[in-house]
Amino acid sequence: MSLQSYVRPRGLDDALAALADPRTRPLIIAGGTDVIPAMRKMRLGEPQAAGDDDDRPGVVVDLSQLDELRGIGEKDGMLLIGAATTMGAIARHELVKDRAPALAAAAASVGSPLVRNRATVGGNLATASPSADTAPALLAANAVLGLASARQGRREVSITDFFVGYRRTLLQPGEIVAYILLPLSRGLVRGRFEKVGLRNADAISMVCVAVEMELDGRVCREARIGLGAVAAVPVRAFAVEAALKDREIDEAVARECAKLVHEHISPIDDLRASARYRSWVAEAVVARMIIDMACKARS
Amino acid sequence: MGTQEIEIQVNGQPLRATVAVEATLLDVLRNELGVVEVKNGCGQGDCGACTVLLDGDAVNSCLTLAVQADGRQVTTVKGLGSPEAPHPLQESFVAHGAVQCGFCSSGMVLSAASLMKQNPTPTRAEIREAISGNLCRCTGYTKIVDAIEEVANNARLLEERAS
Repeated sequence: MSLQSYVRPRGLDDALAALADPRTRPLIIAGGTDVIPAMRKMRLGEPQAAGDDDDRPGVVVDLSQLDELRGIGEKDGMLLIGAATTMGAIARHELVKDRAPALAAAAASVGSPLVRNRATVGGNLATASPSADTAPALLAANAVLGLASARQGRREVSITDFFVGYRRTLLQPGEIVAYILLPLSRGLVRGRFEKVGLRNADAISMVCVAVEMELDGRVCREARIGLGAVAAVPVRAFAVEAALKDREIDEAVARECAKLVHEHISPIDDLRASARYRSWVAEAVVARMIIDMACKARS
Repeated sequence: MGTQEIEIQVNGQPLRATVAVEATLLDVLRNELGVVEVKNGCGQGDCGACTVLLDGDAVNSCLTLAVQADGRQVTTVKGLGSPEAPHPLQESFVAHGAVQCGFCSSGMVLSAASLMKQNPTPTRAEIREAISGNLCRCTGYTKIVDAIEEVANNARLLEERAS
């Protein structure tokens, strides 16, 4: 490692300016819960060839204490969450619990309470791990991400377009996730999140699923389903959603629709689970969540 | 390799150090500042032995850069109480035999203290959730949860008496 300096910008514009010059090889840090273990692995790992020095990060730019990137509120009928808001703050916030229960549950399932006091939602997205727990919840909520950079200014993109490949996003060099917007639909939208891991705390998901459904009695008016840890990127199960639309849901319908999840997932074998098990669990969890939401007691 | 001068308030005392940018708060507390009641376990946020309160919130000091703590308050288990004037949680841990080898204890007590600050009368389930980032390989957790629960029950009694 050859980290040369640490910058704690005073405002968003300062931060973007600090990230704008690629020659300084900036490394963005927020909560640090992903970056710091990665740095440790590099330090403990094989010494790198001398020529690689130019690619290594030089200046650490800390976004975690920027007030402009923190906090939760309502804006124009949307729920606005600053990207440097911690998972703990999101999980505990009454407005999130009330209006975006799947996101609140997803944030509450990340790591441990200690990790959640550091880890940020923006970091969870920008790191773009396929198993990022907040990603399926934000996919199911049809969230919009506000991006910012010195060169391109501000732009808003749909979370559906954000993940472009394994640990790759739309973010350009020097660009950050600044905020997240969740549309607050007026209908009866119910959200749920479920995570399957090896233990309840400090587990990386082997499958995680978020579902939002707008129901008219037992008839599904609209459904959005996000899944994590079952493909190179977090995915929407559009085929399942389309099959559910305007159907009266019972157990058989839910199970039939859930089978379509396989059109969207391509899980791998790793130390946490086999691909076959992940496929089976993904279908089973999607079916169970639809049944619970449409057919069981109102939440 | 870049270094930076930082000042951290550790248990109310300002401590200065010149640290490498990539040094973790854990490394600097133990190796530069002699704050060895903070334990080094897994070094990657799984075990909770290195728990400190950063501006009041329980965090893994191994997942925080020392430079990120510059100008901020760090509380360790020694900042909660002393042998002469222990914190109610420290007293309760001793009374319940919730300390065996002791390696997890400082982190456990701090996670419990962080919980009680947000929620002075937690349920047993909330206590278990609050310490879920702190591993103990000796006690089987029962006595630790008992110790925290007693402090919560006392807080509940006080609350009921006040109302």
